[in-house]
Amino acid sequence: MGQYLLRNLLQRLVLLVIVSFLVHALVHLAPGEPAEVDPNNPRFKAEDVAKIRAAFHLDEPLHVQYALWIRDLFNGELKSFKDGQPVLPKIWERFLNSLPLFICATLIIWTLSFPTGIHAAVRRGSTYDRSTTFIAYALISVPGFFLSYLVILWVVNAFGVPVIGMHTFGSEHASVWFRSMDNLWHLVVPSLMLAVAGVAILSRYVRSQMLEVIGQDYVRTARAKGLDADSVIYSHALRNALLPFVTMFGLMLPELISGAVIIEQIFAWPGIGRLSFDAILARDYPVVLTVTLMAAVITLAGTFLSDILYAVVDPRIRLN
Amino acid sequence: MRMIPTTARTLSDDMSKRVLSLERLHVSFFTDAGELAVVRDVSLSVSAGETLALVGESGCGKSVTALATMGLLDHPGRIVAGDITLGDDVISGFSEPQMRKVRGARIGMIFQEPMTSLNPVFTIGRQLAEVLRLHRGHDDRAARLASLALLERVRIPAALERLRQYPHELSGGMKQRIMIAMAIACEPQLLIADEPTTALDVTIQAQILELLDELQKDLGMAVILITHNLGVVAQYAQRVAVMYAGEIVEQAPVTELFADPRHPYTQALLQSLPGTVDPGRQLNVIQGTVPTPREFPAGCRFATRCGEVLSRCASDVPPASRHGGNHVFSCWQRMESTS
Amino acid sequence: MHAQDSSTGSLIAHTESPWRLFWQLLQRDRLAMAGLGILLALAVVALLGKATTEWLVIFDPTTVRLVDKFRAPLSEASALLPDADRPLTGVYLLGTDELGRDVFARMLQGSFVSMSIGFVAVGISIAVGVVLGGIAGYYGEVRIGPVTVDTLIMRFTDAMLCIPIFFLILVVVALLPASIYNIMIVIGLTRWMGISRFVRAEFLSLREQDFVLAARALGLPAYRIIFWHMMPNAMAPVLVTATIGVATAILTESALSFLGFGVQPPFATWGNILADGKNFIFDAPWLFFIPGFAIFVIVLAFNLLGEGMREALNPKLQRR
Repeated sequence: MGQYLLRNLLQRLVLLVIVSFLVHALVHLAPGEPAEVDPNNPRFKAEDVAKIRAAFHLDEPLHVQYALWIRDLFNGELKSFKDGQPVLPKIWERFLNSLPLFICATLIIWTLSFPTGIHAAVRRGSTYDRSTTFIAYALISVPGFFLSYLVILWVVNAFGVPVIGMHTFGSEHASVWFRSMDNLWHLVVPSLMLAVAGVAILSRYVRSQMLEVIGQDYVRTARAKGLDADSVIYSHALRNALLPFVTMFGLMLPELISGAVIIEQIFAWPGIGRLSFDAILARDYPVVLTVTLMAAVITLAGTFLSDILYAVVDPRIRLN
Repeated sequence: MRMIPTTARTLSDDMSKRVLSLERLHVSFFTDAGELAVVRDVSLSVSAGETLALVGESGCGKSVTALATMGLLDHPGRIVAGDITLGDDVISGFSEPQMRKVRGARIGMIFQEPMTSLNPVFTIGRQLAEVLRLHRGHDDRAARLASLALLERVRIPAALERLRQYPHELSGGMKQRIMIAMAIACEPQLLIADEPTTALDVTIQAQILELLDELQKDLGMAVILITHNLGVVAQYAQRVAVMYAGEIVEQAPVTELFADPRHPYTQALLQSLPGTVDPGRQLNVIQGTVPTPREFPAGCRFATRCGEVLSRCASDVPPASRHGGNHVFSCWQRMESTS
Repeated sequence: MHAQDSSTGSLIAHTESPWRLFWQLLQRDRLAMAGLGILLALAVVALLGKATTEWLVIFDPTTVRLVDKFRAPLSEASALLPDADRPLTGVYLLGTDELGRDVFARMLQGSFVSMSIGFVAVGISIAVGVVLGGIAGYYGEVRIGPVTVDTLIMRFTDAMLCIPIFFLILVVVALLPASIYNIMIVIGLTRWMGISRFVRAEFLSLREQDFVLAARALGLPAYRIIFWHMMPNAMAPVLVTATIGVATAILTESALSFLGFGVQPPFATWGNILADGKNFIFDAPWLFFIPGFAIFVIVLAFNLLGEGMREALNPKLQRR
């Protein structure tokens, strides 16, 4: 198994390199220049534009720019186009802000989807199944920001839940208790909105996976042995149905990051989504490239972890 | 040249205890296309120590009958009429908790596909022990010891190692032996074997069947052997029930069926065996194909392919008629020629 | 397959092509049929919309009527308007927006644009996905340099999948000049990965099947085997993905509009009508809810149809 994992790891590193090429080429090939960002700014003179271009190596050929980007990235010297500040610390700080959002959303997705999906599969065709199916479809079909606004309107009026930013203004001076509870309270609605689509999709997968497993021969054998429904479902069937989800975990990470761009805009959350958005607006290549690469790293790490888990959990792979 | 059965055991119904009895069983599937009477008016019985072969083409309802007996019919199938009696209990009327006590303990069942009938993520030991823990209340140690004994009984070498292995590490034949071990773990009164060797290599088939035969002698079980292989029937069964399109068309002791088949379908089946024609000549076939449940005629379901069909055959269900002590069949045409 | 007997009269000769079977199964899913109905209605509306707002202008989406701005649905047009500017029935069916434009007319115009964005984007992604997946599946073993064709294509696909899709779309769309064609192309070029994986998987399994072997034994040329014999068998998951893909494309477009990168005025899409409307939730809620609800219904219809198709095409989940 060690060999399998090593090969896996190497493959992912290769993928990472390919991703970096792709993204770099994509971003640079698109027209639109960072130095043209603000043509109306009276302080932007031609010499300044030239200076910026030189400082950020924009006149070099593409592969040189790529090499320089990678070098600066690993040196920690990569600087943003917008304000000349180092890119990595900025990204890191924003990432830490987004992390609670991601973790919360992931928790919500995974704890809600499984019971719903399993129950719907076991009671296929029942009212429960049909209504959860319909709700799932509805949630997938609603434009994300539309739903967010609706929810905001409703909860602010009904419950007074905060929906702006990470914490209440001026709470920096409050007690630790207050600040933690305040942060949690601010976390609720945004992470819920981030999780909505994920819950809908994952619960459907769980349902269809369970249905497939329930139809398998070994489930019939378990019943023929006289086992009760709970043992059959939760012991025999579920163990098998869960296997693909171990891998799914890694695959759902990119979607969270994508979703964060919109959710953070709506809820004014100072996270990585907003940073990326502002950077895209400002054509701040280093930030955009680095964030994208980081997203790819997270995804690859996540899927790698999933593969390890899968190998541990499925005896067919473990013993090969 | 005709098939001559080689078992010499004969048991009459009256002397041994009847273990299972299906009386006028009707099973229907309720689909969007309406009610499909998949199994119609099936009556059969097996006694202790006896093997009843249930023969028929694929899709004729043999498995449905078996599953119905176990109470394992999936929606949209349902028993709509008839009784199933196991020993002294009418199990067709049992509640689900009651049936669970029957399954695995009083009736054991093995299936056709050993490759997929074992749970891939549990060890053999765990799957075996499960039955023992459930029905016999064994603790871990007792279950382990009993499992080892079972593995030896079904002739699996290196039993200790096998307990720790996973299904994918075993061959098809071994997996089927494990299935058998699980099925007989609690020494059931009845064993239903649904085409146990169809998916196995020919050489393994003989081994498995021999094993079943031996276990039956040891445990005195009644066995229902579902198969479409007449050779297997001849060698291992004492009585045969021939099924076509959800109905039992003929039932008789094995020797009698091969010597004196009464129903046109049975005759056609026996005729189609390779031994019946000289080498180099074309084999006999039964014209046409088995009708799907939606196409079943109201009367005799073989009417569409029968060489001797009468006008009333398609519309009226032929009643059962006796031919000698233990031999029943249902046919309008033949019925008229027996007294 | 025939079953006949002269004495019992002729019995039915059943020849059921897989397509007929599929259609019969699909018909039983009432939700999917509802979805199909809605979509057909939408297609009609879209065509009529384009016809009545651009070719033969019956409903005018561009007329600015400042005197009548923010009128609620079903309110009468002001008497102060010149005749040329009056709406057809004298009543604003769905109200007016902040420039006094007839929302009904804009929605009509937008329907065609939204639908065409969806279909063109999916068309592009199917074209790319099928070609790449087919090549990888059929010619996978061919070596180019040190790697096989299959590895090349699949690594590329995997690399693309590591990057959050919406993020990628956003980056590219933000950097390109804003035009409706760019948006269609970008959405299409970033969503082909799923299709290519499906097609490759289908081709890999089909390649081993006897009918392909028979075709090759008959000496049929490769392109004929691929396109005429294998492709129709591989299309099932592609169709499902495509149907759901149109829904996703429409949602993506609305998300892009929300962030300001969607189709620009004066073109109306439901997405940008919704995005504009979010600024007036309190003053003119219909500007937000009507397009949002419309998008919801359409996307839901596509999803229901797509899921219905998936169930109808999936042999494992079928009942007898």
